Amino acid sequence: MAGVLVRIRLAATDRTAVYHGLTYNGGGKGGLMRRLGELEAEIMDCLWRWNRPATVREVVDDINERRPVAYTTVMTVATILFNKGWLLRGKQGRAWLYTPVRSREAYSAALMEDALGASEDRPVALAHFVERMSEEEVAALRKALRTNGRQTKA
Amino acid sequence: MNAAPALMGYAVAIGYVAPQAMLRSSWPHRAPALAASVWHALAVSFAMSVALAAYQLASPTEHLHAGLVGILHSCGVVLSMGTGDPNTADLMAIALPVAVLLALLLSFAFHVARGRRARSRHRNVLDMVGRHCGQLHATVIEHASPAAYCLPGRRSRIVVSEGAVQLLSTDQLDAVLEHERAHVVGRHHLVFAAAEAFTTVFGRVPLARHAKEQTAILLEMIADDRALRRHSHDVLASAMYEMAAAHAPKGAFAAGGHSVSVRIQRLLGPRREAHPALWGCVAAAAVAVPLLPLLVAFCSPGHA
Repeated sequence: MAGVLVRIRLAATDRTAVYHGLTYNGGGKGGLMRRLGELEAEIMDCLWRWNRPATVREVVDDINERRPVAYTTVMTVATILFNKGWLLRGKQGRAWLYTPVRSREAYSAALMEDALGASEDRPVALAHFVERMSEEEVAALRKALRTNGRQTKA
Repeated sequence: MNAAPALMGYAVAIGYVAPQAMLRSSWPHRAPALAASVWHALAVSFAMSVALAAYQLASPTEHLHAGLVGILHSCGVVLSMGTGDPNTADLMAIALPVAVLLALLLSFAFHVARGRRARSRHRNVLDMVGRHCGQLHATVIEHASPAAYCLPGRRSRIVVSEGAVQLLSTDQLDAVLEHERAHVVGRHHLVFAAAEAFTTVFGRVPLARHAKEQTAILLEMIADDRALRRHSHDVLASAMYEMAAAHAPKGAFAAGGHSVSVRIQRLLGPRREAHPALWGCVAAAAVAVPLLPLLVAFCSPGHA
């Protein structure tokens, strides 16, 4: 029950934040959701680049070098990321310090595993460009390609 | 005389003999799109003949009906309304074929939904972790091993790893991305889901097993052909080789890798277009095959 309440409150703040900071781009609900997603990615990107715990203030200052964004908006989205399990936070004085739960490399590796995993049963990627081959097959193909290259040149 | 034996014979021919004939012929790799539609036509034809045979077997006007009810009875299925009741028989005659078709539809829906769920989960992480590259029109993920794949469907993504960007030349990378784009544009995930659905329902029949396998490789060839519209055979073949060679595990077990070999050999081999007459015949067969069971069912001698 408490969880539901928290979620509802979060949704409300989240919408307020959208109106405070992001409406200048307009574009219906889909547009707003996309802006929100982009801001999430931007915050994660900052923290991954710095590779150290950081406050919302620091993130806002960094983003403000490129475009204006409200402090409250970034704070709300950082809270969303914390609730989604992307960020850890700890109090330092009066401000929260945020840290990514996992490194960008760890997520990338997980994505690759998910998409290219050797399992027969993989509904994620339709098919990746090539699958694994044995060394003998690779050698045979190298030979075929070389022969073909010679023929093309001749 | 009932059409059920003829339909069952037809189903056996389509389910067991036709796949062998398809695998032995060489035209499918020259006309992959046509071949994929023939595999699907065979699947539809098989499903229809099974459904119609079920209908004929359970039909109350036929002798075999009594036999079927007897078999069910001996298997412990007790029909509450009694064996002689024409209502039950009517119900069975409709319910059996409907069940076959419903199973296929549900299985298709299941595979589509499962894929969509898995992709959306993947995309959520991808959008956070990957960097969209406007120049490539693709999402790049920081990973050293070269890879390229796509997430088809709504909000599709073309994904390429940093390793692949490093490994391939601009032309090669373009060809690879064009290949992936072809999957998305052609909605290949739905074509494959249909093949998967058929395999889930009729898994034991050779046609089902081969249809799924062949659909997968034919879809790759269709995407290859689309990439060839803008890039040379050599560029695509060498891109494929570079990616495959970088993937080869050292002394480890390599699973199911030969479809890449087949695809590269196809690109390097003599370029023979399928003859227009052959095209016409096969296309006509693809249209006719799903209709044949109906013909067998309703034009068989003695059909009341």
